[in-house]
Amino acid sequence: MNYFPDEVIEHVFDFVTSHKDRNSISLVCKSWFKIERYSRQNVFIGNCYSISPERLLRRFPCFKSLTLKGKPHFADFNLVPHGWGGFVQPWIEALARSRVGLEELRLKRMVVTDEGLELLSRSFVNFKSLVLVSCEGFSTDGLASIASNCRHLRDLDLQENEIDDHRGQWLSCFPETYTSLVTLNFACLEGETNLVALERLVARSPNLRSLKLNRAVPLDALARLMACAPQIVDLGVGSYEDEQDSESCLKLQAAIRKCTSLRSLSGFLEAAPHCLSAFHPVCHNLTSLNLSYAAEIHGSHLIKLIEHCKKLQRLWILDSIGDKGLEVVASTCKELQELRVFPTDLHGGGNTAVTEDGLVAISAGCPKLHSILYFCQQMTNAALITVARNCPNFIRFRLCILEPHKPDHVTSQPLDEGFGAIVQACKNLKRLSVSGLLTDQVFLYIGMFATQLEMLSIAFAGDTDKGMLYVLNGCKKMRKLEIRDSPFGDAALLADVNKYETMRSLWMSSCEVTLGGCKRLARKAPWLNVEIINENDNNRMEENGYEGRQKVDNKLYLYRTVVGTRVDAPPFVWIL
Amino acid sequence: MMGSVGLNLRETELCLGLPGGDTASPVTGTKRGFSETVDLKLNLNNEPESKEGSKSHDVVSAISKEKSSCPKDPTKPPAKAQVVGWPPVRSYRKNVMGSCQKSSSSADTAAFVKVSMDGAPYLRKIDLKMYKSYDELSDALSNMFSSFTMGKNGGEEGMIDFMNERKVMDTVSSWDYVPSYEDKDGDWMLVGDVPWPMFVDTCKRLRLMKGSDAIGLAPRAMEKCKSRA
Repeated sequence: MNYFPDEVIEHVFDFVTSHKDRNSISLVCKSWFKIERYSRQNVFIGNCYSISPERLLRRFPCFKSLTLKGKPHFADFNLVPHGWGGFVQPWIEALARSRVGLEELRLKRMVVTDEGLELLSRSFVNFKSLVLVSCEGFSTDGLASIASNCRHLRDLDLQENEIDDHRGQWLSCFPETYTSLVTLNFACLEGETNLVALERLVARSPNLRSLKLNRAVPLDALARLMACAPQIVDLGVGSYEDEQDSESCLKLQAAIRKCTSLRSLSGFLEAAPHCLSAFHPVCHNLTSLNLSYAAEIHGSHLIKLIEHCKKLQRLWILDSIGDKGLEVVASTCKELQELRVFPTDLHGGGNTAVTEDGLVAISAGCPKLHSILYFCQQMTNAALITVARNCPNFIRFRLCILEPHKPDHVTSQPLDEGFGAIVQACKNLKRLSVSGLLTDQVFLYIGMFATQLEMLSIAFAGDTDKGMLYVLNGCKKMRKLEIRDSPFGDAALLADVNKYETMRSLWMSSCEVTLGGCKRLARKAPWLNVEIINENDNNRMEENGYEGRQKVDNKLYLYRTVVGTRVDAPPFVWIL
Repeated sequence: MMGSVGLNLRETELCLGLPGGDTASPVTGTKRGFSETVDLKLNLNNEPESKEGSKSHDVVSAISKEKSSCPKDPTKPPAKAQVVGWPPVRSYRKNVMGSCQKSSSSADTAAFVKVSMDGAPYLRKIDLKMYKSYDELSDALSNMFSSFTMGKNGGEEGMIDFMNERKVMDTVSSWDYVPSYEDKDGDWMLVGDVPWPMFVDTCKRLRLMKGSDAIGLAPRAMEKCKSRA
C-alpha cells in the first residue's frame, strides 16, 4: 500500500516527535506500525505499572530515550506511604540485558537505588542524559558511579529529589578527560560540595549551559564559577548567602556582566537581598525566573529585580510578593506565559499577601498567560469571572485556596460560578485544580464545558455522587482524575467502568467508596489494577466482617494496565 | 499543639475508622467538616491501652463522646489543625522552606524525617514539629509501630523511657528497641540527650535500633553532648 520505500516513510516519521502523534501513526496500517516501531526513538510511559519492560522492548527495540513515571501525583503531598512502589530497578535490569542503546533516562516519582545507578552507568556506552524528578532511594554514591562511568554524559539533572548526601567526592569522580557536560543540576543536595572539584569541572566544560548549585556554594565560589562559564544560559544560584566581603560582590558583578547568554535564574535559598542588584544587568534578557525558594527576598528588592525583567515568560514566586508586587509583574512582564505563586506560610494560619486582586491584575496585564498555579487565602466569583474574560487561553489553571471549603469571601456563595466561567471561556484547558467551597454544580459545568480537560484535581468539594458522574460522563479526554476528601461513593465509581480504560488513573482518598464497591469494580474490570493503600498494617477491615459496607478510609488508586497485578506491592497495598 | 486532641481516638475506631480519613456517616449534602479530615496517625497522645494491641469497645464509646465535641462548622476550622497533604505543596518544598526561614517562628515550618525500625518492612515519615516533647514523640512512635514491637517487660513495650537517664544507661541493652537519630553532622545519637527544640533542629532521621545494636551508642552520645555544651 505504500507509495514510497520504507526508508522514505521512516524519514518522514522522523519529523513527527510527539508521542501522541506517533501513536496515531502506528495505527494507520500494519506497514506503518512496523516502520514506526523500529524508528521510535523516545518512549514515554506515564505509569510504570501499565506495561512491563519486556513488552516495551518487544514493541520498540531501538529506542534511545525512556521516560518513566511511578507514584501517583498525590505522593508529592505525603499521601502515599513509603515503600508503595515505583521501583526503577527491574527496568534498568531488563534494559541492561537487552541490546538497546539507551542514551537518556527520565524518571519522575520513582524509587532509584545506588545499585541501579551503578548498573545504568556500566550498561550503556552512549548514555548521555539522566533526569530525576521527585525521586528517592539513592545517595551520592550512585551519582559517583554515573560520574565515573558515563564517558559521554551530557546531562545530570536532579530536581527536588531526596538524596542521601554522604558528603563524598562524587564531583571529583568525573575524569579529568571528561569535557562534555551540558547540564549539571544538584540543587537538591544538602551537604557540602567539593568546590575545587566543581570549579575544575566547570572550567573544563565548554558546552556547559545549565548549572544549578546547592546551598553549600558560597558567593565567592559562585563568582569564580561564573567567570569560568560565561556561556551559561541557566543558572541556579544556591544559597547566595550574605558575605560581608564586598570584594566577592564586585567579582560577582564583573562575572555576571559577561554572562550575556543567561536566560534563566533560580535558587537564592538564603539570599542577601542587597546583592541582588548584581544581577540587574542581565535581567533584561531573562525569560525564566524562579524565586520560589527565596524566602529572604521580598519587598522593594524583589520589585526592583522584577522591574528589570521585561522579557520574562516564566515566573515562580512566593506569595510574599503581594498583590502590589503582582501588579508590578502585570505591568512589566508582558510576555509572561506561566506564573506560579507559592505559599510562604505552609500551615495556613497566617496572612498571605496575595488575594484575588493579584490574580485579576495578572490576567489583565499579561495577555499571553496560559499556565497558572496560585495559592491564596481568599477568592471571589467576580474575580474568577473577570480572569476568565481576560485570559481565555489558559491551558493549565490551578487555584489553591488554603482553607478547605472557603466560600466567596464577599458573597459567601460557593465558587461554582467562578470556576464555571473559567472552564467555559478556556476552550483549551487541559489541567484544572479546584478549591474553596464547591457544590455539584461546578462539576456540572466542568463536564459540560471542559472538553479538552485531561487532568483534574479535586479536594474537599462536591455534595453527592452526581458531581463525580458529571465529570466522568462529560470530560471525554480525561486521563488523570485525583480526588480527596469529597463525598463521592460507589455509585459514582461503578457507573461507567469502561471509562477507566480511557484514563491513565484514578485516585480517591477519604471519599465515600467502600471496600465492597472497589471489589465489584475489580471484578468487572480485570484490565484494571485496583489498589487499596491501607496504612494500618493489620487487616482489621476483613476480620470484622464489615467489609461490604466498610468505607475505604484509606486510599483507592486504580489504573489501566496490560500486564496485570504487579508483584512488588508491599503488604499494606491490597490489589483487588 | 493543636485542637486535635479530641479526635485522637477516632483513629483507632475498629469498624470504620482507619486512619487518614473522615468517618462521618454518609449523609449527602453535608459538607465534610474540615476538622474531621485531620489525620492524626502521628499524634496519639492519650492512649493508655494502646500498647496491648487490639483496641476495642472502650475506644468506640470514647469516640462517640469525642465526636460530639468536634467542631463541625466547615467554614471555621480550628486554626492550627494539620491536614495531611494540605496545602498541596511538595514535602521537599516544605523542608527546604523550613530550613531557609531562619527568622520565622518554628511553628510555621515542617520537619519531616524518616523513621525506620529494624525488622519492620517499611519506613514511616513524621513531622517532628507536630510534637512538643519527647513524651509525645515516644507515644506516637510506639503507636505507629505497635504491631511490630513485643515488649519484654510488662506493658512497657520495649520503648526506651526518654526522661529517665539512669534507666537509659543501665538498661539499654535489655530493651528491645532503642530510638536513635542521625544528626546534622551525620552521627548517630541516642534520642533524649538534648533539649527537645535542639533535637527537632538537628534530627535528620530516626531509627529504632534493636537493643543489642545500641549498646555502644550511649557512651559516645554522652561525650558528644558534653563537647557541644
